[in-house]
Amino acid sequence: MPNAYNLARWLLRNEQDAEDSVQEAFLRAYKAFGQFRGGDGRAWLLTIVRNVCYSRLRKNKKVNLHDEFDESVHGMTADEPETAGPMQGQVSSEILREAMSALPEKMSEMIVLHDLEGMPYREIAEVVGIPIGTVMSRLARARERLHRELLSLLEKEASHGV
Amino acid sequence: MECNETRRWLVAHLDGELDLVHDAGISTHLQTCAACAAAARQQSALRDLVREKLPAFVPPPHLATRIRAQLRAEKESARPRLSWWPSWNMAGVLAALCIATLAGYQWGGRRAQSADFGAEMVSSHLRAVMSDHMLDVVSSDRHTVKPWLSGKLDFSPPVADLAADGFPLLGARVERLEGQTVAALVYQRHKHFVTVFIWPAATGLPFAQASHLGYGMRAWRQADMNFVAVSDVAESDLDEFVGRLRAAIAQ
Repeated sequence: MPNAYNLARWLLRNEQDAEDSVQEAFLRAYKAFGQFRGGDGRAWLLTIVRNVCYSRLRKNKKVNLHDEFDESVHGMTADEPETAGPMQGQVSSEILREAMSALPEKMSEMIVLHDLEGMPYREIAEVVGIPIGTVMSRLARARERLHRELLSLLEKEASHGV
Repeated sequence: MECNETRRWLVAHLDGELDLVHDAGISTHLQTCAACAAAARQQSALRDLVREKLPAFVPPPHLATRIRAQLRAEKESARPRLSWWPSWNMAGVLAALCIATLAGYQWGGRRAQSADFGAEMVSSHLRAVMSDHMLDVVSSDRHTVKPWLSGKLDFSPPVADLAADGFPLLGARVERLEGQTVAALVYQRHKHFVTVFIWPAATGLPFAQASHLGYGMRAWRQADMNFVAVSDVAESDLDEFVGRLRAAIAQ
């Protein structure tokens, strides 16, 4: 249940919506118990949670049905400026969470599933319904974007002297 | 391998998700290219930062209660069953088939028959774990748990502590599942729990092993009792647990 809530909370960014969605997902899962055969139950449950969350987002017209970026065009390249990575010590959990919140759902869910839930690419591909290659490029882009958000937040913080 | 290509595969390389050929190519490149090696260090620092410091959102306590109440209501509103073997209801079969097809699962008749049975066990385990009500009697001493259970049931289930094997006994509760009163022993494995349901072997066991919602199940018959172990521990741990429990009961 905690992983279901965490995913829902990241996707919906709102406690009440996250709670309602997890509850709905559990009910759906419960009713479909008989249809679940083997495999990874966590992936199955999170797929349901994700589906519930996205239909809610769509209803609220907060999310584009299609991916917002063309992953083949926006590949990683080596000619990006080299920036010093933020050091562990200076990044607080609050800043990290704030930086994550700036990411679009399709990116933040990659980081949630991979880094918080520890899912391998194959399972993420199953939950999100995309090819493994797309998981890889999207996760790379998500990390890259998170890095940029972190740097800009740290800069802001430094300039405000907080 | 060139820098551009290395950067494209870098995240997968660091996550240990690349095939051997690409992986070896990247390792070689990182040894000779300082810029890519720096990017790799930055990437893994960021990943470690997220893993260590990004706080997961924790569900509020009342959510588990809400879900539990809802699942219980759902369970109670389901059609009453007279036996362990559910009678088929055409609408239910159709709905199940539709969902099974949509989900891409292959349909097996035998599994289908055992679905309700397993679902009951898993939902009992889930409700107990999600709520605070996991145990009616809290004790790791089988000489406390066994008499307590015998006093609540019309049979005396075997009880064993497996603390020495890494599965300490936490206690027990009594459950009513599909019209049958069963003993539920609760064991712990690290942060996970194993519930073992035990009842007299008057009814058949519909499966030897099954899985629902990520919860593995093992069923067996021993000493004139039916046993079903339910848990979200790794399959190998569950098998080990069952092996240890069977051995302990056989003694």
